[in-house]
Formats: sequence, structure tokens, C-alpha cells
Amino acid sequence: MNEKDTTFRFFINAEPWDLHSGRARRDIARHDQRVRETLRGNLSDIVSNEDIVTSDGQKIIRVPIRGLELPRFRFDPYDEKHYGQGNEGTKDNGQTQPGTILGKTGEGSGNQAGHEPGTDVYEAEFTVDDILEMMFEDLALPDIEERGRDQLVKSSLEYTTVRKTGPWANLDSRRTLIEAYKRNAKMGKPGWDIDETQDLRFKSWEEKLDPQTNAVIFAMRDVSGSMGDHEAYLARTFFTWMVRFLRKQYSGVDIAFITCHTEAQEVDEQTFFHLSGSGGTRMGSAYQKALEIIDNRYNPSSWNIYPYLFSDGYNWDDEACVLLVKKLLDVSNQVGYGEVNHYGHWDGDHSFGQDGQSWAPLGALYDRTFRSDERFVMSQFGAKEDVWPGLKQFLRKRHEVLATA
Amino acid sequence: MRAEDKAQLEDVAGVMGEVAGQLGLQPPAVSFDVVPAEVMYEIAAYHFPDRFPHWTHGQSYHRQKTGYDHGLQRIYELVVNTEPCHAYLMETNSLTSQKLVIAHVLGHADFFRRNVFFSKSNRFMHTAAAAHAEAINKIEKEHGLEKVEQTLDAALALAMHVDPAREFFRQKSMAEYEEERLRPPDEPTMDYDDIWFMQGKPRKTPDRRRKIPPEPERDLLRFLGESSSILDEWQRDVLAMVGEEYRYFYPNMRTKIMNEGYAAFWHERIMEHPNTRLSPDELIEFQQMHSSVISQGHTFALNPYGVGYKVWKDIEKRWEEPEEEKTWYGESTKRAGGEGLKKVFEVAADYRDSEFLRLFLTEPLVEELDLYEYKFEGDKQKRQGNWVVQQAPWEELRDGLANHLMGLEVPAIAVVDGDFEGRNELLLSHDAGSDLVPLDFDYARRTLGLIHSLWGKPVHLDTIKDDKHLRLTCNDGKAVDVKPF
Repeated sequence: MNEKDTTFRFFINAEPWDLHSGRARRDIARHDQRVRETLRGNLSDIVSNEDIVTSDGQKIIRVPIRGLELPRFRFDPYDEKHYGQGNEGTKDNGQTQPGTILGKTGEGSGNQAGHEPGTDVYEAEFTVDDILEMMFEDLALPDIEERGRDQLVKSSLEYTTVRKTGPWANLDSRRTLIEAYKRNAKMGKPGWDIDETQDLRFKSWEEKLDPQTNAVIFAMRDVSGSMGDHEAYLARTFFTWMVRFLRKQYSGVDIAFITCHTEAQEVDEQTFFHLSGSGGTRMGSAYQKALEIIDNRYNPSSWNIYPYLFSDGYNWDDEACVLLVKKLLDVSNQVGYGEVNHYGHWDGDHSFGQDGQSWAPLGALYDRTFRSDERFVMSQFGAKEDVWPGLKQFLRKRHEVLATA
Repeated sequence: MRAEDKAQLEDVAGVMGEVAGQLGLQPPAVSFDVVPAEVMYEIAAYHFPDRFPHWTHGQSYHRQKTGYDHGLQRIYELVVNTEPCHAYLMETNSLTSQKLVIAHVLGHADFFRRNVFFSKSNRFMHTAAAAHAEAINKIEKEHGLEKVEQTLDAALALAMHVDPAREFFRQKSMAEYEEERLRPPDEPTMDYDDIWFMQGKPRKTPDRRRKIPPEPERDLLRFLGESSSILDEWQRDVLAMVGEEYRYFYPNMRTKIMNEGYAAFWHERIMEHPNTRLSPDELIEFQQMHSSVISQGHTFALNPYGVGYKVWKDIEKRWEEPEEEKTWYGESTKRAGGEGLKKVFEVAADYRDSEFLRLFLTEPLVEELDLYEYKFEGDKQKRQGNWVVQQAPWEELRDGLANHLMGLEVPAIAVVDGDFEGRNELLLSHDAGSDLVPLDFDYARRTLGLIHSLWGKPVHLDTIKDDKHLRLTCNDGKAVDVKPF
């Protein structure tokens, strides 16, 4: 160091910095884009997140986003010692004592003072509608003739045309000025003088006619002895998203809940999702009930019909079910079967489908019978994470269906 | 900035500089800028006013801003170690805050020039960073945003794996390695040669094979940039630029606690010095700000300002007005005293955080600062459980913390073979014996994928987990196998 010159030299710069700001905009935008990309990759977590399943569209939820962080070599944070320093939150009479719990995993990011180690969980804020938007980029209804196009007509107003007369409130001042300028220019003296008899332009509307279409979902669930709360939650998550999705597609969506053990009955939503299992299993009655309701309330010529059954696939009347599904296919847009199971609890009478997937007896029969019918869809649900792939399976985009056919 | 504000700051900086000089500080010239909040976040996110674009900077900006918006953190100032030093002050600071911040900047500036770890730093790095930004913009135009981003992703993932001592030690040249390799084994010529053979050990014959790299290479970024056969020239440039910037950042990271503590130690001195002439109201405002900066810990992490400040105060006290102390051998001893600031300057010159705490963190300080060790307890697979404070003797805590700071949490990974099994594959080895902590396999997988993108051939990483030797292999840039070996 220079020992002689001890005078402190400095400069104060007075140039404005405002112009400098905004340089980060591009990187911020790219980061946001990566958040969205990562979120799309995390949809299976999000789709089964209880908060989101039960919240309405406007609610802002904090979504944990995993895997956004740039990777690096690091130590296993769950296997390593860390060092911290107490604050008012942890101190108990001065010193933080051994055994003090600083936080639960997953809570650390909410802590005001610091972050728990190893969290690469970035929290982004989205509304449920934002998430729906992202989901729907991956989902589509099967390409089927839509019914009920002529039934109901809904109208909306759209400003699409310009007229020379109209209410003053609808005056289109920009166009009016342009007209005035053009007219004046034609007369050889360009200027903005407005001739109220010639130049005025008004925005005007047209009535837009939207065909109103309706859909009904038959949510059918096996409530025999083998089905419990976990299965109910999977079914609930699935149907919640299915309803949300169909609401985007159709102006009116009805949902009919049917529970079934040996007998089927139509129930309300609350009962449907909370009834726990008892008794034997005859799924044919559920299909019969659905057909009955269709006869009574949902004329197939004006309703788009989506019956989905959730069962563990151990059933007494498999052959009857196949016949009933065929009947349903005649009147429905899509018929779905979700096989609920616990992985690791397969037993001997499982058989393998043509693609090597293992199905319970009912599923295996469906797989053989309806394999070539693209209006019949089936998927397995073992854990929460399976809901999103299941939805994607049921609502594949057309080109993907063709690609896999 | 209004002219009278500028004049006022000029007065303040002049007075502060004079007081600092009287106290023994020798800060280099400083260029101050008063900037709006948005610009402050930008500089905090990019570290320089002009730096290459990358989405991680956007992420960092977002964190700065949300931290500020939620009232969790507030940046008062930023100082960059350049020639002259550049200091950025927040426009919204009160006059008292500006005074505190200028005093704080003087501490940092003095530290930058005093501490040995900064002695080889490129003090024109801001200019270099701006040149890198320009170069990368040009490369983007030529090769497309996507390719440049992929290369930058990989480079930044490895950015901590540079050689921070590269400027301090001469590197052997390839010719020297070759000469060593080809030199015939020495014939016994000296009278004492037999001593080497006393235990019947045969003379080691040097490995005649030409190795790539000749010695295990910890600077992964440099090795990949220089030795990969698939990179375009512009990619090698990108790797070199990132490496240069991170070597520059290393001393900052290694002296965070010392540097922040030192600045707090000196801003207090300067502010309370009679020649600074603070009004009683200003003094109270200053003391409130000062105590909020140094008091609280961060639960999951240390507060570098607070820890550093207390250790510096303690060093000064122990060397100024010493009390009886025990030596390492348990003998009583007492220093002469009156050497407080001398010791402070000495320590500021020669140490980094790890040694600073290993030598000067005492039992009463551990208690006063309420430092603790904590660990995860629960289901590691599902990552469900609690972070729990551990019972640890204070010496163990001190040494653990010092080790933690020494390695900066960067696993010791080196390239051991760039032509593994003669197939031009890359073999990396993690020195698990010295790190003692297993790698995060999930992160390692993704990082290996990025290394594969730079190497183009299978990449292997040897490590140890739960006493098992494991080899992680990335064959195609996507999947990674883990096999015992």
C-alpha cells in the first residue's frame, strides 16, 4: 500500500441513471418464460395439489417450482451440517438450545429471516386460471361431432364495423379526423377542419351468434369394500379438473354423480366424494343408471356426454359391462375407465394388455375389446402424480392420438 | 441529482475520508453514484453495471426485488473492487443513511486494498465484464440465443470450479510436463541414495503414459474449454470469460464475513468520531441502523455483518487491553497490550473467513452471537422432516464452520482422465475423503448432463456415498446411471 498519500480521493457522479434502468428486462422476461416452462413440467404435482383442486379460478396461489435452479455440484443438504445464528424467532431465554426445531422442510422459504438449506424451490404466483391455461395447451377434446349446435344461441356484441351515423358516445375520433384530413387534402388545403355532415365516423357493433353447447359428465365411482379415501381423492382430483376443462369448452356443463357397489344410485357431490366403501361390486349397475339418466334428462342429440368410471377393476359382471359400454359409446362423445390401484399390491389375476401394461380383470377385458375404438379411453391411477398423465391420456390432442394409433 | 445534493454528498465524503485517514485507513479512490432502486437491483443482480445477459440474472433481480418489496431486505449500498472503487448508493437513503453508507464503503475499499486475497484481482474487471457482454451479444447475433444460452447454462453450472489461485501460482507448461514424463529415471549417484531404499521400496518409475490432463485438474471450466474436441471457438471464449469473472468473485466470497464485519467496525468508528460532527439526533438514528444491521441472525444462516463485526471488536479488545488467556497448551499468558488496531490491520491483510473464524472465534463469542449447528432430521428420501439444532461442543462448531467456509460449499471435484479407457471419455473424481459429505445426486445428474453437452462423449463421476464407491455415468447427455465400482 502507498504509505505516503493518505488523502482520500473520490468522485460523486451526478449523471442521471434512469436511462440505464431496464437493461435487466430481457433476462427477467427469459426467466419468467423458464418459470412457465418448468411449471408445465411440474403440472403433475400441481394438478394433484389439494389447495388448487379446491380453490376457485381467481385465487392467487403460490406454486412451488422445482428444477428451475441452474444445477451445480453441491453437497446433499439433507446429509450435511449447517450453521445458523439465532434471532428472536429461535431464541429461548437468550440461547438457542440443542433440539430446537428451526423449521419443517418446505416451510423455510416462508420464513422471513432466511431460507432453509438446499431449497431450490422457487415460488411463483399464479391464479388457478393461469394454470388451467397452461394445462389446456396440452389437452384437447376428442375430435367428435359436437351435438346441440342448433339448440341454443347465445349472443354477444362486438364492435367490428364503422358507420356514418350513430350515438355520440360511439364517435370514433381517430377515423373522423382522418376523414376530415383526407377531405381537406382533396380540396387542396390540408388541415383538420371537420365537416360534421361528411366526416363523422361512429363505431358500430354486430351481434355475434355463438352456438351454445352443453355437456354432461357422468362421474361414476366404485364404492365397494376395496375402495377407500385415497381412491376417492384420486377420483375427486380427476373429476375436478375434468369439469374445469369441459367448462372451458362448453357453455354449460352438468355433472351427474353415481356411486355403485352392487347397486348404483345417483348422489350429490358431497356423498360422492366422501362415501367409503362397503359391499360387493357390480359395475354394470352404474352404467345402467347412467343410461337411464340419459334417457330421462340428457337427450344425446343435444348433449355431449362423457361417462367416466373409476374402479379397482375387480367386478362380478365384466361381460355385462362390455355390452353396456358399447351402448354408452353409441350415445357418448367419449367413455372413460380409470383403474385405481395401489402399486405394489398387484395380485395373481392381473393380466397384461397388448402394450405390456398390467390391468385388473375388468381393465384387461376393456383393453382387449375397445383397443381400436379411440372414443374409449382408459388409464391407471395409483398415486396423486398419475392424475395429470391420466388426464392427458383421456384428453389427448388429435395429432397425438393419430401418432400413437 | 440536484446540484445542492451533490455538494452536500461531496462535503460528507470529504469529512468521512479525512476521519478515516486519521483512524489509519487508506482507502483507494472511490467513485460514488447515487442510483434509483431499480438500478440498484440490477447492479446487485449483475454485480457490474454492464455484464453478459443470462436468465439467472433475471432470477437474481427478481429475488432482490421481492425481498425488497416484502420488506425482508434492503440494499443500502454496493461496492465493486475496481480502480477506482465504484460505490452505488440508494437514492432513497436519508442523509444519515448516506453518511453511514459512505463510512461503510470506506471500510470495504480499505479492505480490498489491504487483503492479500484481492492482491491479484483484475481491478478493471468492470471494463472486462462490459467487453464480455459486448462479445456475447455479438455471438448471440451470429449463433442464436438458444445455443448461447445452453453454453452459458453449462458454463455457469461449473463456474465455481475454477482455480482461484491461478493468478498466484505459475502453471507448468505442457512442455515441462512432457519433459518430466520423458526424462529417464535417475540413476543412483549420491552417497545417500541408499537411505531411500532402506525399507526395500523400489524406486518409483514415473508413469510413461502421456496423460490428459497431466495432473488432476480442479479447474473444470478451463479443462473443458481447452481440451474438449467438440466445442466451437466461440464456446471456448464463453467458458474463458465466465471463468475469468468467477475467479474475480472468489476473493469476495472467501472474505464475506471479514469484509462486512470490517466495514461495520469502521463505519461505527468513523460515525462516532468527534470530527464527523453528527448531531445528537443523527447519532441516535445511526445507532439504531447500526444495531439493526449487526444484531440479528438469519436462523438458517449467519449474519455476516454481525458475526464479522463482533469478532473484529473482540480482536481489537484482546490486543488492546488484554486479559489473561490460556494458550493452546493450557498455559496462562498475557499480551503486552496497546496493539488493538495494529492487530486488526494485520488480520485484515492476511486472512480469509475460514482462518479468521478458526483463530479468532472464541467460546464467549459463540454464545453471544448465538451460533449453532443444525441438521436435517427425518425422511431423507421424501425430504420430510425438521431442521434441528444439534448439540455440539463450541470448538467442534468453530472448526466445522471454518471448514464450511474454506470450501465455499463447492465439492472437490477434479478431472482425472480426459481419455478414459482410451475412448476419449471424461472421468471426474469427487474427493469424498476430504469433503466427508456426499454429493446431492439429483443435482450431480443434471450437472453431468451439462458437462456432457460440452464434452460430447460419456462423462463419469466417481464418488462415495454411505461408504460405497459409486460411479455416475452420463452416456447421452440425458440419463445418468449409478453403479458401484
